[in-house]
Amino acid sequence: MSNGGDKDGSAVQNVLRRLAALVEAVDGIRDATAREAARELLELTLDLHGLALARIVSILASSKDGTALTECLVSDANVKAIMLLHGLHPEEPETRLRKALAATRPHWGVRGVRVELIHVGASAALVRVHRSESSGAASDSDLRREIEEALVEAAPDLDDIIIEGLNEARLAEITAVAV
Amino acid sequence: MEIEPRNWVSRVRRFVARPAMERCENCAAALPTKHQHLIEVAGRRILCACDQCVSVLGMSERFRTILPRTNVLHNFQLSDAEWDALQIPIDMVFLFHSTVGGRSVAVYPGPAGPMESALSLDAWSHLVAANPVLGEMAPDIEALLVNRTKGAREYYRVSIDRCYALVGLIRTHWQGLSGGAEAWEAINSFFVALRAGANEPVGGCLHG
Repeated sequence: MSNGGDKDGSAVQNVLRRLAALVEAVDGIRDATAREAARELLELTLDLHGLALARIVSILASSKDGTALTECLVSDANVKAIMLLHGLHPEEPETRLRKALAATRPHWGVRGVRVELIHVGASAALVRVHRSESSGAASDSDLRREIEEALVEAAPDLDDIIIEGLNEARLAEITAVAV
Repeated sequence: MEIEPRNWVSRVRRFVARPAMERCENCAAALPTKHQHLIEVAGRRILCACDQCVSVLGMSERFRTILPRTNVLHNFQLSDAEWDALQIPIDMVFLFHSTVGGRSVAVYPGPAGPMESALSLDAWSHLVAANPVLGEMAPDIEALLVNRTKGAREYYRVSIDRCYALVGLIRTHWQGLSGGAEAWEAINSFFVALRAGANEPVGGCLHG
């Protein structure tokens, strides 16, 4: 991955997709010793970087232009992904979900779709979708995918975002995660 | 009871946070993350087990293989009066037929672990008559899980390991007389996961 040139975060997306796939693959290794070695390798690598990153974020946040600097960090696709991974994002999942819903409300509203945030817990969020009579031709499964993508992008640190109110059950896992 | 992680941050974190190597509680063989559970019927103890031990012990009288299951029971017939007739003191409970005592029992999650409550057998047989699905449940390994806390009226047919996951969760988080925010947070998440149909434990078993 090249340095500095990934303004839209697409390179990050590719890495994240690959990371998630590899985690699944390694988790499936039957040889428990090998699986545990890989797990510990990743755990320690993340700990090493996580501790340093927490210090860096803290130093920046408490510096003279702390608020503006933190905002810059969060707006950078590469940095935001790592902040989320290490729990360093300044906003809680609920805040990020509410912001995402507020941002998409007009877009979905003109299509007769309203998404209500019912509950956000430590590991999952529950939303309910209300489709009016005049809502567009998009199928329930297409709409579900669209809503899931928007919400997962805002809170990839939640284990699951459960969407009620649409007819079709979830078809496939979300593997493309935009940051 | 955990939700299957679908999002990359939670997937990575859950993978690294996994406790090192679970072992079969019968023969100590290393266990993959997704493994089966047995219940020792007499003591109602749930064990993580390897496939070999499951096939061998599952055939004995002492153990039974737990088949994972979660069904939300819509249109469950239970009025408030009928609930009172069951004389169960708290509003979160699971009920199952125990082959050891040869009768149906009610167990609820207490702050210090599972507590058995006396069950009015008359009221129970009325309940089964009104809800034939209860007669279909396999003894010892399936239960009716009732959640009537905070105005809820939720009824589930679940495998018994899920019930004991709820017991473990409450024992871990409960504080004081009314539980505390953290406990109710965990309980809410548990039932949300149940309703979503997410079934597999991740990152260690909570059945303790």
